Amino acid sequence: MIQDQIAEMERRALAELQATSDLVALDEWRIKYLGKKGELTGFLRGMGGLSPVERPLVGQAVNTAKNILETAVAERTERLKSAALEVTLTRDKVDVTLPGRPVQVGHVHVITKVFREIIEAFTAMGFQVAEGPEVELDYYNFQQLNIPPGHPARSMHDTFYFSESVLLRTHTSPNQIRVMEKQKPPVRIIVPGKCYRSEATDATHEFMFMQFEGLAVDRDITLADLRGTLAAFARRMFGEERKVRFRCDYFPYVEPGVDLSIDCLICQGVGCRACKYSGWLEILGAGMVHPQVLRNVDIDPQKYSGFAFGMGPERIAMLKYSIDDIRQFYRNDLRFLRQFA
Amino acid sequence: MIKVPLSWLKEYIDITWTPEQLAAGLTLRGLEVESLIRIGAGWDKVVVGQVLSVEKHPNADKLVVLQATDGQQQYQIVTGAWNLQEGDKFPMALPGAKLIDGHKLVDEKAAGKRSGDLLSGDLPYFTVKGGKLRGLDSQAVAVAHLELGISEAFDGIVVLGPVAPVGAPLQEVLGDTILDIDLSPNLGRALSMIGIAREVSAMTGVPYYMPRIAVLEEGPSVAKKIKVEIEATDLCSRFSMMVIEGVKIGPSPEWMQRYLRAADQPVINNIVDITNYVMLELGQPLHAYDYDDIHGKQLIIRRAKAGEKVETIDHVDHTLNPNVLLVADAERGVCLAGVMGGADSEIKDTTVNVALEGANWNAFNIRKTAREMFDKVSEAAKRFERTVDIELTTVAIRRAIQLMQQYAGGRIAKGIVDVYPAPHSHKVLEFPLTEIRRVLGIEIPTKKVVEMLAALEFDVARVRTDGTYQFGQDDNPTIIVVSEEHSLRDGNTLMVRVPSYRNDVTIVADLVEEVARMYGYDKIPESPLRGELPPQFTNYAILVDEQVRTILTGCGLSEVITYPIVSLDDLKKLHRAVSGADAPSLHWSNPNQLMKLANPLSTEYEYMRPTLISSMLKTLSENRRFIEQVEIFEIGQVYLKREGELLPEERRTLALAITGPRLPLSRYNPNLKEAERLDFFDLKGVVEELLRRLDIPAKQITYEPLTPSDSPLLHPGRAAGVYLRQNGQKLKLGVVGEVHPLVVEAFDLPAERVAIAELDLAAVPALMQREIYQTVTRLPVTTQDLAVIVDDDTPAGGIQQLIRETGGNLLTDVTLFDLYRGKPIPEGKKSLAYRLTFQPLEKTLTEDEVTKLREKIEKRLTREVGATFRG
Repeated sequence: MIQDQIAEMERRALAELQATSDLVALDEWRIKYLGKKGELTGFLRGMGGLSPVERPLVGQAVNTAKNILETAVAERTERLKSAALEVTLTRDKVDVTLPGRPVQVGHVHVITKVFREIIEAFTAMGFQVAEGPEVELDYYNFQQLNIPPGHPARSMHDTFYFSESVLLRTHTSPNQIRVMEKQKPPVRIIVPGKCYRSEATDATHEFMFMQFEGLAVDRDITLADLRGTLAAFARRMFGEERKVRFRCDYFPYVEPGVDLSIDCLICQGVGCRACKYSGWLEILGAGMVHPQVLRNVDIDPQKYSGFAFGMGPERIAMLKYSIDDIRQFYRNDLRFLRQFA
Repeated sequence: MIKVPLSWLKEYIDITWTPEQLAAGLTLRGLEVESLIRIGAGWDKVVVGQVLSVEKHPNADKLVVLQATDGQQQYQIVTGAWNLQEGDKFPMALPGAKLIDGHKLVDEKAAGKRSGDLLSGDLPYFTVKGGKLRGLDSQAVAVAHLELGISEAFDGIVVLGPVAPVGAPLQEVLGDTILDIDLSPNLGRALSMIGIAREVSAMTGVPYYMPRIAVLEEGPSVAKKIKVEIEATDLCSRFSMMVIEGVKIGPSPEWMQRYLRAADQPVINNIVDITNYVMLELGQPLHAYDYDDIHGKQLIIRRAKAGEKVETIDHVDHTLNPNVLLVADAERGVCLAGVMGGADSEIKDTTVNVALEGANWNAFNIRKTAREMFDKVSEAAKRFERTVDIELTTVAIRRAIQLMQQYAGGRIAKGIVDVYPAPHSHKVLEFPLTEIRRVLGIEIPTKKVVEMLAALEFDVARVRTDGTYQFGQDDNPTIIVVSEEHSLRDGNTLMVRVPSYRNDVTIVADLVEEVARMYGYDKIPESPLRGELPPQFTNYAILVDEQVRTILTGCGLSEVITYPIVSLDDLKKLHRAVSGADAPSLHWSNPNQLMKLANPLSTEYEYMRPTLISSMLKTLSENRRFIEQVEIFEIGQVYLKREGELLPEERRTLALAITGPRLPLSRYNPNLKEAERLDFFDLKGVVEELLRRLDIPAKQITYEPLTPSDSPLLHPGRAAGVYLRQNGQKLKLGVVGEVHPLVVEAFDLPAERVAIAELDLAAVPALMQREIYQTVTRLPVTTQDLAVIVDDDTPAGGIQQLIRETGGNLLTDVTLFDLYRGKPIPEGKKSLAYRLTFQPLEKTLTEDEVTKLREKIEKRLTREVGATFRG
């Protein structure tokens, strides 16, 4: 009986299918039994010699066997694939605690980082950024700022000179004059830049340092505006919870003069070495622009008033990051600088 | 600046606030209290002892043996100090007491381990223990000033006053609190106990008292004893003098010594101590001469003659110039006016007659002399350079002469020599009250303002509606009115007469500050800025800086900031590779001379840099000691002298420097020593990326080989000039190259490749092109590889340029992906393989179109550079 032969083939085929171990063997199996010249087609081909009664019965038996074999091979394929994937995944396993591949990205200088914060804080209040020369005239650095030759304030500015009239600026304040010579009120400007003092260096003194000058001039600008603006800045830089102290200080180009301090970041105002046991850290000097300074640039001090301020980003960085030696900044040891990346 | 012992201050004012309140209050008012020094806080087990007997140590010449008592028990003390006598009272440290180790301090200072004040910084301590010294029991320690920390004196035991109760804790006798106040240059008026008492009085509302002065003048008329003439009237506005005869030089009273020591002043003898005491009390520096050393009994205030010599009391010989003001007698200079006395006429142990000077000098001149001739500004000069109340000379010498008679005896000559050519006129300021609101932003009732000013001893008169005004009781006829063309004088104006000691108050704004000080800076409200916003603009220079930082940090470089002041030595190192006498220009952009400081700190920092490269190489070198791979950049100015201008051009410049292995050590790059090194092409890649991202079109940039004379610091075969061609112009943007091996060596860098670039950042903002949108299509791209064979010395840059130009708009990318020499390429030739990417805009490209373009490119290359093509 052909049907018996078909059944025997089916059993043999299924047994062989179970024995296949990879997709290649599976393909061979498929060709052998289900291919165009495979055994199953062989039965159909041999049907020409069968009686009309037998023919449909055999056809049906072949189809049934075909369905069984196809289902079986699909299952087997699925199983072998998933077994193969399993092997691949196992083989791919890594030690996830190994370090990642190094990425090479640089970083800006810590002072640039502080500059950015300061600029952002003041531009948000309508200030704009200007610059001025580092090699400066005595006229701008001192004389126009109410510091004539022989003024005692000059002893607070140890100055590098090129000649009697040309020097390295000791502060960014000459830019108050330079800006107001060109721009009439309203003025809101900040001027960052390098400054120089001819003094011995130690943990808190550098012969080169950065400064930020600020200037706002308009009608009706008051000491209260100064306080509001700079207190807002201080809290933005050092945290909303900071207390701000506002006290009298002296700079020849402002009157009244102001010193702005925040409560010590380290001891929270209780008193420690960093704040010299005062509880306060000075962060900037300021004041109402001196009437004579306004007159020097042809602005009528009875119509206009303004405030000016100056601060050192190194000091701000030192406070923010607890840096104890100002000389670190321009020694440019990358092991120091990359801590602020 | 000034140390104010509260015990001393209490002589003039009742102190109702705690030391902390005083310190905080004064600081808010501009008198910054730097620290509160508590003397005696650590003096446990130190008591008042009394000497019962003094004997020589039987076994040691330099030691003495004291028997002393604390009132209950007898102690034997062996000490090296000889100044105690039977009956003296002194601080006696009992076992367990902690004292400053004076010997160690002095030794450390001598060995150079300590700088500055002896009593600054961390101090060494020792604990008193009983023990034997040269065979004798020593049960306690007799204590010197230094060991207590009250002054630097370490030459004898502290002798206490006779009223000190024996056995009492020393703190009750010598303990004190000292305000250490830092004074800004405008606060000369506060350089005295009275000056501080005035501030405290204004602050606390408690009145202060001037010392009572009563002088018994019994001697001959002073006019017969001395003549004074002011020749240099521009530098001396007042000179007052009294004379006392028959004094006996000796120690000053114990209480005075204690005050002086607490205020950090030396203790010398009664006459000198009194001049210092009165200076600290009232603020007027005084000078005492040995009257018998004044030749001709006359004093002339004159400028020194050139070359004139004076020995000052610190025993330094000075050769003077005519800027120095002298007090001279008939023959010679006897005092550098206002700065320091002369040795010839100083007070000696043998001095009998004293001439006492109180004068007022030109602040500018004093400042100049004091700072040019002395390392340390004297106490007198410190006051004169800040200006001293001109009304004070006679008050102060009367006070001092009274004390001299009291503590040194003698007879006071009648009268005062007082040369005072132009007596003081009181300034009167017109103070429109509206200024308070306008400058401070607050309203203060007029009555309050008047009270505040009165508390500060300003005389205040309210202007009546008819414009007249009247000061109080003693209206001074010699007043000058300073008007700032303010206002109508009306009911809203005050006339304010300024006390003679307030030289710092000259304009209305100064009065506004006084009102703010009295009102309290801490009570000024916070208000945000209002009003019109100024015109807004973009600062392109700073914008470019920020873009450069973003790009370069992304490329792996880190920012440094170096000193713009450099040494000539370092600049010369850049030319180490150049032989011959012809000094090359110092920088590719700067053939001019350098800016040189007239007063550099050292030759290490003397010239303004004309290039960033020397500082970059130094920074590389210093970092290379610790780090294998260093990649840095700096944005900074170079300083280029300009003909006919005082100020140089400060040109914004960018420098980049890289050296070391290309990749950091990792398991992917296990052998750093053998790893590939960063070189010219790494840095050129960064420069290309930078310029591209700064929107400077790549087509306009060329890199051309540099000759050694162009840039002697660079490797002659591995350096390029960076040029920009725009509108038919060729502009040099900078250089990129490897540093010449000899220069690498000169900067102590390891002998390996160092690539450096310097670019003219100042030129960039003008060159940046507007970014214009390029259409992006989804049509497929076609790529073709083209291998070009040319002579080995044909620059690749030109070939790429030709391909680009010929390919036109459709050729969107040209990438060199292989450079090959050797078989089968003929000797002397090289093969450059490019991948060309064609991107159609409107319709898919046909094979034919691409082939045509390729043939066009090939033809042009053959024609212009003799290229042949592979496969």
